[in-house]
Amino acid sequence: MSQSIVERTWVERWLVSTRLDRSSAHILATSAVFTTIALRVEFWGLLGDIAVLLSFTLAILVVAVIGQRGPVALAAGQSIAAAITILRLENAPDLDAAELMFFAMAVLLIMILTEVIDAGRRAIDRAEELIKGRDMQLRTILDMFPNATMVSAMDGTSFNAAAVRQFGYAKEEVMGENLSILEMQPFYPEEDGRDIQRLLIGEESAIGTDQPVYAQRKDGSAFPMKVPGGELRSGGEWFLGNVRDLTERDEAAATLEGKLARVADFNQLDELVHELNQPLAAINNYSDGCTRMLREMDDSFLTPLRQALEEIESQSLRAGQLMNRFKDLWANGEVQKAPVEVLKLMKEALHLGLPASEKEGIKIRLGYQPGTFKSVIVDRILVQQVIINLVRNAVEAMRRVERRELYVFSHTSDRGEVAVIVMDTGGGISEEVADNLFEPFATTKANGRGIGLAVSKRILDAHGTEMTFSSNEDGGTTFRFTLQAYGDERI
Amino acid sequence: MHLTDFTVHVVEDEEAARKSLVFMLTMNGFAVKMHRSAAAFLAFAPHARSGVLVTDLRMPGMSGLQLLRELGDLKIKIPSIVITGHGDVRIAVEAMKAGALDFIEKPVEASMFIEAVEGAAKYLTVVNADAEDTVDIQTRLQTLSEREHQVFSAVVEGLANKLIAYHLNISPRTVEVHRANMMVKMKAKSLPHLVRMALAVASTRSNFF
Repeated sequence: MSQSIVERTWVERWLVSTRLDRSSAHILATSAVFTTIALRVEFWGLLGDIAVLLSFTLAILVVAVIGQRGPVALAAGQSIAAAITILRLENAPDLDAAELMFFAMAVLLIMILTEVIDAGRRAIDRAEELIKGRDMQLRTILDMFPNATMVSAMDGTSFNAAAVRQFGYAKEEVMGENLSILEMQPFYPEEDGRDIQRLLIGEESAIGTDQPVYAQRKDGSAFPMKVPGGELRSGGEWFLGNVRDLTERDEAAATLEGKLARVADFNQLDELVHELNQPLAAINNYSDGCTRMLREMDDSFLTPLRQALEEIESQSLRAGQLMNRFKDLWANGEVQKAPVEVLKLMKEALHLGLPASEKEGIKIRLGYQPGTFKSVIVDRILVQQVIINLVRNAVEAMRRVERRELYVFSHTSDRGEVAVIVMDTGGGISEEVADNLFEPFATTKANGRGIGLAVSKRILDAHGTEMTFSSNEDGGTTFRFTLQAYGDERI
Repeated sequence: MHLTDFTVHVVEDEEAARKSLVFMLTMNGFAVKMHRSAAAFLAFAPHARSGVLVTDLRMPGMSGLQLLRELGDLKIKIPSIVITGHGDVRIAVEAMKAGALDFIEKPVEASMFIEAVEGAAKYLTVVNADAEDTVDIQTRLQTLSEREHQVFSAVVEGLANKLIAYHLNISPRTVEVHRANMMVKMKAKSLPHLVRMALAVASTRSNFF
């Protein structure tokens, strides 16, 4: 972009740009005059005394090209002296007044011409200075653009600082190239069958339009971009392109899409929970009503019936609570923590996880290490579900073994948290299953550990803790997780 | 007051829920009248004899909250309990500001529900029957640490722990502990109880200044 505004041929360039200092100009003036003297003396026989002085105007014209008045005046003075000297030496008649007058007029005109040339040159200098300044400003401004911006003409491309960073090409590397070095690929290669070639710089290029295109960096990596831009027509075609990197937009759109999908899921979940809670509430209400009614009738025969109804009531209530908590957990990873006594938590979970019929033949121990914290701060419903899962899995795992013992106990961990441990004497877990035990459906039917553990993992995640497991001496598995202690009270 | 001296008005749009509630309350010895919509109850309310209102919050047409506000505008005083969907704590708090005495989250536990209805019925004979001495509440408030007090203010606005943590710039775990401690210090049996205490203190305060 920083080119001289007049350059065409080397002669023009030389004529416009050559500047002589004062002494060189004087030497040139003197040489021109002496050359004329030499020529006149040489050709005296041929020309005689015709217009001796006027022939010096040629020399003065040469000097005039330099564009300085001083050398012109010097050459004019020297010319008059030389003419007089030549005429005297050749014994010719003195300068006549008419010739002197013509000469003076010629010199005057040449002086004016000199002024014109000089003014023209200075104008060109100023213009170039101005353009250079503007060019610098433009570059600075373009470099300050946060977006990659490029200016492309037929003979090359210029990048701003952001474009250098964006594409990885140095400014010098793109100077002589056109924009096709960015090797745009069509944004939707197959779907719309657009030709790669058409997308390269040219009439149908996507550059300069609002179409997204894939750009390629120097290192070969690609990113989606848009290059809205404009053509500038001013003595040749220019193109100013402003690159908008679409990577972030794409990522943001993807995250947004994901979020919207989750919002949709959440809304559906919300509706589902609401819908299911209605019949559960009805079951709960009816069974409570029936229970009250049976309580009024003092009949021992009805007692089992009443107990069954009470169980229906509490189970339907728990189903509703579980749905609510799971909804919170799935939608926002949220749990509702409140202080609860560890022993109560474990006891209830054992009761819920093991109906009386399944307790047969299993030795169950519930215990704690003396001095452990009395309470933890957890989402009771959800953490109980974790224990229920472990207990059910343990029972399932022990179905085929002789020795059936289940231990559920708690102690204070090294980090001051409350550890809950569920131990069984079942068949243990094979290594291949162990690797992704907490993935949904990692189960082998044989030991019955299924989606429950993935859910448990999620519940414990939301509590900021995790479950570990190991094989124990009795050939079974020991599961362990920790919970946040609440208060200082110990048991 | 005897159970049959007042009527429990159940406003619930869904038939299964409504009928089962009526059955449960009847079996527990209450006199019950059911209403299919908020508008239906609003039309009936001026003629209602001594009663307690139990209304769902989420209903098509007029919501439970709107119903409470309309009743307030009509100067109809009836002790009210609202039933909320899970996670509707903010609306529940709004309902209490609009005059509800209690809110119960679905699924409703029968025993809690009956307790709430009986509690509300006390307001029929004595004004502020169940209300605790505001001086007592103030004394308990004094025992809260600055953080606990901040958590208290946020909780009674119906904010979730995560949001409270965000606003106070502390971790949700810390909020949970502060919240638990605050509930103990305030002797709050439940969130509605805490909100009731907060509203009681706020009203005496506004009367004061």
